[in-house]
Formats: sequence, structure tokens, C-alpha cells
Amino acid sequence: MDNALLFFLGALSLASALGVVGSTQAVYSALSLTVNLLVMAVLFLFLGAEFLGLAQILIYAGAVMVLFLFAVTLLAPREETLFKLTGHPQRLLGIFVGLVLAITLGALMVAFPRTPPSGPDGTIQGFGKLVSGLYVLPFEATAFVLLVALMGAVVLGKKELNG
Amino acid sequence: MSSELFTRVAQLVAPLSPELCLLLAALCALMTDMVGQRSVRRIRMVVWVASLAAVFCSLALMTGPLPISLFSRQPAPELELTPSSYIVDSLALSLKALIGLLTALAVWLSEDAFDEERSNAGEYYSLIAFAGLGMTVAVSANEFLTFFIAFELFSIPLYALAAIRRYRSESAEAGLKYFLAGSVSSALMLFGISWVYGSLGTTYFSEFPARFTQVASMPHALLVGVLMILAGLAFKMAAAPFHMWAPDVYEGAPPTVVAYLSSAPKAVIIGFCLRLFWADLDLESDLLRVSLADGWMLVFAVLSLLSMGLGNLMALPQVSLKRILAYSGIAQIGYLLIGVTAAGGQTATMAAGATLFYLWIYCVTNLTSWAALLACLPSDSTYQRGELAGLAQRNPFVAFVLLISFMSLAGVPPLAGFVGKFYLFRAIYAAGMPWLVVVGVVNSVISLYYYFGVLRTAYFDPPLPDSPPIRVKLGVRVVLVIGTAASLILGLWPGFALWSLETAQTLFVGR
Repeated sequence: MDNALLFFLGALSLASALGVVGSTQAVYSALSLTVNLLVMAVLFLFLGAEFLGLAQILIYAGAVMVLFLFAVTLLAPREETLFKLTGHPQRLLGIFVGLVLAITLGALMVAFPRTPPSGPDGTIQGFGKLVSGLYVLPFEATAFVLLVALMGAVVLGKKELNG
Repeated sequence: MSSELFTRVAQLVAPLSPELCLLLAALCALMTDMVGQRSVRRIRMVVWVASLAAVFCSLALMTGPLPISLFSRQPAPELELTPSSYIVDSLALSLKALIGLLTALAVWLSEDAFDEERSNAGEYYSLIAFAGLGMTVAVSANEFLTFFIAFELFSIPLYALAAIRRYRSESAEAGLKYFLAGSVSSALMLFGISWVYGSLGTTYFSEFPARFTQVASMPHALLVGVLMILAGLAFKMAAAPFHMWAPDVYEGAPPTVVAYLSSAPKAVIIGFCLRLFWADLDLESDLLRVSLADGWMLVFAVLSLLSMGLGNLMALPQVSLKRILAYSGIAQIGYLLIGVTAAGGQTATMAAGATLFYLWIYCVTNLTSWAALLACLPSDSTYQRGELAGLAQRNPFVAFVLLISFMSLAGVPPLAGFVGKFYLFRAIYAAGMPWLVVVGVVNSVISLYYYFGVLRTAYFDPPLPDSPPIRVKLGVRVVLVIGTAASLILGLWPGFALWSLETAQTLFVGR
């Protein structure tokens, strides 16, 4: 039962990921991305990573996707032409490299030990302990990364060039 | 009571003083821009004074007891060492001093370089200081997550700085390209880190050897993870075959920014490679040596070979000075990787010292070359080689600086670049890879062609009839004098060069 559900979710996430890159309308791409993010959230919950699953739903499937959809519907982009598999040699090279990567990672998946992950527990409590203990330095430094990203966005997005 | 508290605070703050200097500078630059009388000069001064203070603090800390471990965790019972996420050792401190120096030089270089430097001064200098902060944190990171966050902390400001002249399409394009290439490299690295974490269950470097012995049966996932991390690092330092973005970005971004982003991040990443791959340089239980024996030396050797070969050959047909310097930078990374390769061999201490020595020389010389070009070309120049015609008559001083720094980059005997390369080649010879010495020497000879091509234009071509007079700003002049003096002193005074090299080597003894 559990396995069947997992395979179903896996297939759904793959299909929606293909939908993101494959659809010609930006709105469909965005909606497929929402499905993909939600499925990933469910998979995180299956793994016992409660915090990650909830954050995924709240932040990515919620806040970020709303922004995406707003941008997409407001800007009303023209219909894109679907990517062609032939023609450009770089594209073929890209597909080749992608396949090699997929096979390598697939082989690793098969070889990876099937033991349940023994990492830190993914409950909200466990996450809080990690963030305020083991990983306090990167957690604090993230504040500056966000500040810098904000500054970069402002300085590049500002409209007029005044003194 | 209060003095005890003071001592404890000082003990915590002192090892972090270089970082705190840069952090304060970044925040002060931002605040000065917003509050009270806005003064671009004051903003600049805050940042360069703080950068030099960071250099001073790093050098002062080097005289004290080392290494200092910060943010330690409780050790697991099976481990002997106390793992810490942040380590202040002599490798980190020497790199911090270099980064502080490069930041100060970049600030001097930027003085009135273009409109946005004045109109967005607060953001511009704050971003430079934040980039410096990210780099100083990154060289001390002793754990993957800290390194990754620091990596982002210095990458994001550099993306924004590359695009800061956003009304010029080439700068915007350069920023976007740098951002895309950089994001791919960050994603690759993060994916690799997750593979390493998945197979070892820790992100702390000092726990790797102990964990590795527990999972020794299954190193493949670990191997792929580390390769991905290496690819991400190679992207950032523009080592072939991950160098594609560099010429385009260097061509479009403002030259003052390029001078910084083509030198300082390389210092961080070479330092991190030394730390991660050959962490405890004389420890046999090192993770990656256990996992693949001499394999990593070969990986680095191939990266180095490709970078040197591609960089030098692609530089030959270029006429754009920016592209010449971009490909020369790719080739120089190849020479530095020779040192990283040698650090995996028997004579690790010697090799690591030589790498650090050459890193200092290269970063300063590279920045000086950009400064020389910046000094003699107008701000709307396209940096074609022909524009340098008659430089020797128009401004002998700048022409001399260009001569010294290019000859030093090429590795011509009486200059610092030659001394640095000589020690690198000696190290790789001692590490048992003489073929890499041959490749390196052949590449140096090839590189003479394009370096001297530029110098020939500057010295032997007659000046164009309508070429404007060259007036070098004070800040740029300071950079030129410092860079030239470094090249000459290290080259002509072998005693001093030897002393610096030996100091660099002692940094690695007894770690």
C-alpha cells in the first residue's frame, strides 16, 4: 500500500516536472510547478521531515507560487515555442550530458543502502534544536545573505538614476 | 566581575575581528548613505579603512596561539576531536589578510570610475564590503553548510556588482550571465553536499575520517558528491572546462568590479580546496586520500592541464584586452591548480606553501594589471588592444606598470611571477609529476606571445593622433605603486621572497 502510494507520488512529481518545462503556456508551467511542489511536500512528510514538508507547502506552494502566478497573469507572456530536440549541437550535447548524469544518479540510487535515514529528526522541535545549536553560525549568516540579496535587487531594480 | 566579562567577550570577538571589521564597514557604508550629509568620500573611506583594519587584525592574530576553533559542538563519543564549524588557523588568516588587501585595492580603484559609483555609492561599497565579509567567512569555514552560506554571501554581491551599470546593456548582460553561471555552480555544489551528507551523515570536515571508516563499503555516492562540489568550485574560479562564462562576464562588467571578482574569489576557492581535499596536510587518515588514493591528484592535474592549455591557446587570437586578461586568468588558475595537485603528494607542506605564495602574487598582480588598463583607457573605452598604442610616450609610468605586471604574469625571470611559478614547478616535481612541469613551462612560453603582443602595442606603436592625455587618479596610482612594488621586491630580492615562502610553508607545519 505504502509502496504503491510512493510510486504514484513519484510518477506524479515526474509528470508535473515535465509539465513545467514542456508546456507552451506560462500559466500551465506555473500550475505544474505547484503540483510538483505539493507532491514533494507529501514526500517530505513521508520521510518524517515535518518541518520541511510544512515549509514547502506554506512558503513554496503558497507564497512563492502566488507571486509566480501574479507575475505570469499580469505580464501575459506570449506563447512560447516548445523546445526542439534537433538542430543546435549544444542542445544535443546538453541532452547527452543530462542522460549521463541521470544514469549515474540512477545507478547510485540503486546502490544506496536502503536503511532509513539516520539523520537528525525532522520534527519542528528537532529543526529548532539544530538551528540554534549545531548550525547556529550558518543560520545567523543567512540573515546577511538575505540582506545582500535585497540590496542587490533594490540597486538593480531602482528606476531612476539620481544623485 | 566586569573585567571577567570583558575578557570573555574579547576572547570571543578577537578571533572574529577581521570579519567584524568588514561587517561593520558594510553596514556603516549603507547607513552613511541614508543618514545625514551624504558623502561619497566618507563612504569610500569607511570601507578601505575597515579593509586595511581587517588585514591588520589577521596579521596580528597570526602571531597568537593557533588554531582557534569556534562554534564547537559536543563531540560524539566515538570521536577524539571536537568538531567545530569555524576554524581560525594560519591558512585562513593569511587568506583573510589577502582578501582584506584586495578589497582595499578595489575600493581605491573604484574612485570616480563611473556614474553609478557615485549615484549608488552606498550600495556599491557596501556590496564590496559584504563580498569581502563572505570571503573571509568562507576561508574559515570548517563545515559544509557554513561554507555554502558564505559562498552565497560573497557571490550575490558580485552578481549585483557586475550588473551595477544596469543602463548599459553589456553590464546587465554580464550580470545576468554571471548570475546564471553562478547559480548553476551553487546548485551543483549544494547537490553534491547533500550526497556527501547522505553518505556520511555529517557536514563537519573534522568528523569525515571517522565516519568514512564506518561506511567504507559504499564510497560511490560520496565520490559523486565530492565531484559535484568540485565542479561547483571550478565554475566559480573559472577553471576549464567550467570557464565559459568568464570572458563574457569580464568583458561586460565594469572593470573595477572585474579586477575584484577575478582575483579575490580565486583566493577563497584555492584555499578551500587545500582545506577540504588535503585538510590535515600530513594526516594519513584524510578522507579523500583514503577514498581514492592518488585519484584526486589526477583530477586536479587534469583540471590544471585543461585550464592552462585552453586559457593560453584561446588568449592567442584575442584583440580585446578584457578577453586577453580573462583567458590569462583561466591559465593562471591552471598554474595554481598545479600547486593544489602537488599538495596531495609526499611534499604537501612545500606545495601548499608554494600555492599560497603564488596565490598572493597572482591576485595582486592581476588586480594591478586591471588597474593599469583602467588608468590609461577612458571609461567608455571598448578595451581594444589598439587603444594602448603609444602608451609609453603618453604616460611612461602606466606603461611601466603594465610592463612589470604582464611580465610577472607571464613569469619572466627577475619578477615575482617567475619566483612563484618556479616554486610551484619545484613542488610538483617533488610530488612526482614531472610531466606537469613540462606542460607548465610550455604554457608559460605560449603565454609570452599574447602578453608581449599587448606590450608591443604599448611600447612600439605610434600613438593615435587624437588620443587624449592620461590623468591617473590618486587611488589608482596607489594601487599601481603597491602592485608594482610587490612584483619587483619579490622578484629582485630573493631573500625576501624566500622568507615569505618559508613563512607560507610554516603556516602548514604542525596543523
